[in-house]
Amino acid sequence: MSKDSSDLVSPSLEANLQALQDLYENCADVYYRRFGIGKKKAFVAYIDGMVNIDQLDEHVLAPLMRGDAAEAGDDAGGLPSVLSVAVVGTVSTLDDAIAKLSGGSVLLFVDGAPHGFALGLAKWEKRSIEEPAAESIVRGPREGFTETLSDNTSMLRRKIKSPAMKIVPFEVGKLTRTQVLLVYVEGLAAETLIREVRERISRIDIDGILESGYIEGLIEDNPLSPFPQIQVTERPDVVSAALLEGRVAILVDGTPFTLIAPSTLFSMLQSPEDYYQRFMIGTLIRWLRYTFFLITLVLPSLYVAILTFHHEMVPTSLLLSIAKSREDIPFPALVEALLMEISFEALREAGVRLPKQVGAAVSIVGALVIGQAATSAGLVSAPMVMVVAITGIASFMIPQYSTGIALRMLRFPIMFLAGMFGLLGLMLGVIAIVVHLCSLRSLGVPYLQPLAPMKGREMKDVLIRAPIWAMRTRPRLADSANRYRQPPGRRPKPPKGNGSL
Amino acid sequence: MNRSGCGRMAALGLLLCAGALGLTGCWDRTEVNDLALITGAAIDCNGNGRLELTVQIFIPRASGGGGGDMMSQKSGGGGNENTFTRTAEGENIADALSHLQSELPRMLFWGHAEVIVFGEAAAKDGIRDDVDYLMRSPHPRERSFIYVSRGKAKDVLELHSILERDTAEVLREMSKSRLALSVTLAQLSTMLTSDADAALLPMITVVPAPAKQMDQGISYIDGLAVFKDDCMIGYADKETTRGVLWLRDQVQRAILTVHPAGPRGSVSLKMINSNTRLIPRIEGDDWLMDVYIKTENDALQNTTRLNLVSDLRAVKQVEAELNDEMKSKVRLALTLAQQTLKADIFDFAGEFHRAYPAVWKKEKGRWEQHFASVEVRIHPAAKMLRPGLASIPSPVPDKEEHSK
Repeated sequence: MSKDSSDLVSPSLEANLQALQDLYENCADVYYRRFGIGKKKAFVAYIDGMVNIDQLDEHVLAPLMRGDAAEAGDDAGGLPSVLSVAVVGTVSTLDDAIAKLSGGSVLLFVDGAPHGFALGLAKWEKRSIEEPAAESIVRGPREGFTETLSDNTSMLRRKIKSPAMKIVPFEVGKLTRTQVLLVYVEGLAAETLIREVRERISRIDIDGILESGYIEGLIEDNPLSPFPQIQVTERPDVVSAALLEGRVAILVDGTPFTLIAPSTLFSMLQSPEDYYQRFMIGTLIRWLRYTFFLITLVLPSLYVAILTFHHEMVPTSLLLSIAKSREDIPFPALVEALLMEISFEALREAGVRLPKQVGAAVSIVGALVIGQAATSAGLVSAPMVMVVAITGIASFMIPQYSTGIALRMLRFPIMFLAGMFGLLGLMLGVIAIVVHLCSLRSLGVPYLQPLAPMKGREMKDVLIRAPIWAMRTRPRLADSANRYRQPPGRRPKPPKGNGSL
Repeated sequence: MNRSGCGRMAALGLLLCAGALGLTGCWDRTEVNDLALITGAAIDCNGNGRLELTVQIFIPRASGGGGGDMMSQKSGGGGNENTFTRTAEGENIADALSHLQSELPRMLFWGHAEVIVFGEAAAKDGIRDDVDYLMRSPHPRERSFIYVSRGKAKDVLELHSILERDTAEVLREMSKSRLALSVTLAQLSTMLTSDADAALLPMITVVPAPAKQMDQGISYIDGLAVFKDDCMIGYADKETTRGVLWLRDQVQRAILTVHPAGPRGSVSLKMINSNTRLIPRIEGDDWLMDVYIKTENDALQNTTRLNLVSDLRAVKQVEAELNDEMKSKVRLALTLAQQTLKADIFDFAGEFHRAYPAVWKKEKGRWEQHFASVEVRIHPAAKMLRPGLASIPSPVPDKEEHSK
């Protein structure tokens, strides 16, 4: 009884209608409308809420039903010429029909026609373009991706106008049929890289893709690593910059979060603003970020290790005041640190989930509890509160949220090691992490490049943020024939002579 | 397949190694709460050949009520003190420490003992055995400062300080200020093993508190204790100390006052830089030592009529006076070392050893005689760099200027 969805559309109107109704049985949101074009019978089908009804009435139904299309209707192929609709596709299989229908098109079937038409009248409620909440900056474009794929590609196309920017569509997810776009700039991204990404996306065979995190989890090189190997952003400028460096971007319908690959640890530690502000401050802030990267990872462990094993390492006055503040604390330093760190993590997680109305109140109470009250109750010492607070702030300094949470997680095993073996344990933990980082790859590119393997020239964008005119070459993430971004000698200078015009 | 098998084996091996680490457990984990932090130590000998070790221990309670008096030893607590002292006897430091430890609920921790004071009597008995413990045991810092006190060293630690955290901190700050000689444990042990066989330690004088005011006693560095071999044989007073420091090139900061001949008054200068070079020479049987001292000075105060701003002759005069001053100080030090104590506290021995290694090898045994007769020639070169003011501040009466 039920039709195979790959069946051809039949010339018979009734057969088509029946086939569609069979497929969309118990789907209350699919609407059908029968009408006549002259003597011919026809019907349109669409999904409620995804179609611009006004335009359907005005530009499709009205001209067809008024009868001036009657003669055109004789020849079904000439029908589109009567319709003032920009996008008119043909539908020759039921498979096509399903895809078009769920994409928001209006299906038009005319009796006797060899195929149906898909009218691009899609329109649905969507979020407007807003400033990305997770990646706000002081200077730079304020637009962020939305959940609508076409909006996102348009933002990219407005930034990179060259036809060399290619957008390759994929449909992933057997049930969700999510549209996934692979974006790259031809000539900049290496052929091998594009082929690899295509292959990895094609390998995915899953019922549904709800967010780009699904794709990330299905295509990354080392799925068991705590570190993200694919950069995530909701900023079109970040994606454009990555495309210009020869990376590829993966846009997923229904989420503003776009994947950038290959990406390295250092690209995770860069903020777009580094490039928009003056280069000296960019360099300085970058180093600040590196410092706090380490602080996030080891500060509580360092404190625990020194306080339980290496008392002689602290300056005398500092140790004496720590000794004073710790005198009444019932717990060993390790337990104290764990207590505080875990309650901080809980507070952070609660802060994300809390409804906005109670959020402020709870965070104030939480801050009081883990700060003021815990200290005066004699459960934790004041220096420990400071250490935890600094660590907490430090983890949010990392622009890539997923890298930040990876560090926050790794801090706990290191804390245990430090509590058990002191600085020796701390170093063991750090060495293990460094070794792991060295072994990681992001789509074949070493994760620590350009530090390991060492690429001296690329330090211009790692150790410092070189001035724009000094950044002549693209990073060698994947080898590309097109290495230079600009000719040499583009450093600006005043005109010859005494410098005035 | 084979490769991943190898990886698995390696991972297993690593896991086993990590497990082995876990077997050691937290065996030397010590919380700060379990430590008795020693801030300073004093070593005395109590007359019948036994050693008396006093330690000053930090009280971690913010305003704890002094030390406990329940022990037989006298406790130096009282008032709002940060520290208390404990004393124990023993055959040597290690022995005394073990007695001390048995009387304390917390582990003694030497890591922050930045000050170690020898009593005069203990110093005269010899300090090599004590230094042996301090260097051999891993706990005391090699960078802690060492002193000798007049009288009992214990008294130094039992003083109360108003300005600093505790008396040990007072001494440490004084050493750090570099106005006087400061000797660390590591330096002391080097001096004890050097060719010269003589050592120097700063000497502390204690002015005990008047009967009712516990916190009025003070201690200050005053001169140098001179050691030969490892026994204290004498000391240098403040004046001589300056000379000693010049010969050892250890003068960092000083304020010198000279009285130029002629006009009434004096000129005080702040020395901002001093550099001493010792150049040994052996001519036949004569052992000579040329001492070049270069100093740079700024004028601080001028109560004479000399015009230091524009009168070059006046500047030269002050410089000449400075040179004389330096010369006399150094002479004082030389007399003490060469004639009175016969201890080579300037490490002339090392200089000769470096310059004439062959001669030194032969003459090493007779260094004592040689040292007493080394002829020292002092070449001071003081420079006054800045008069301190660009203009002449005090109006100079015209007639006096003319009468000159």
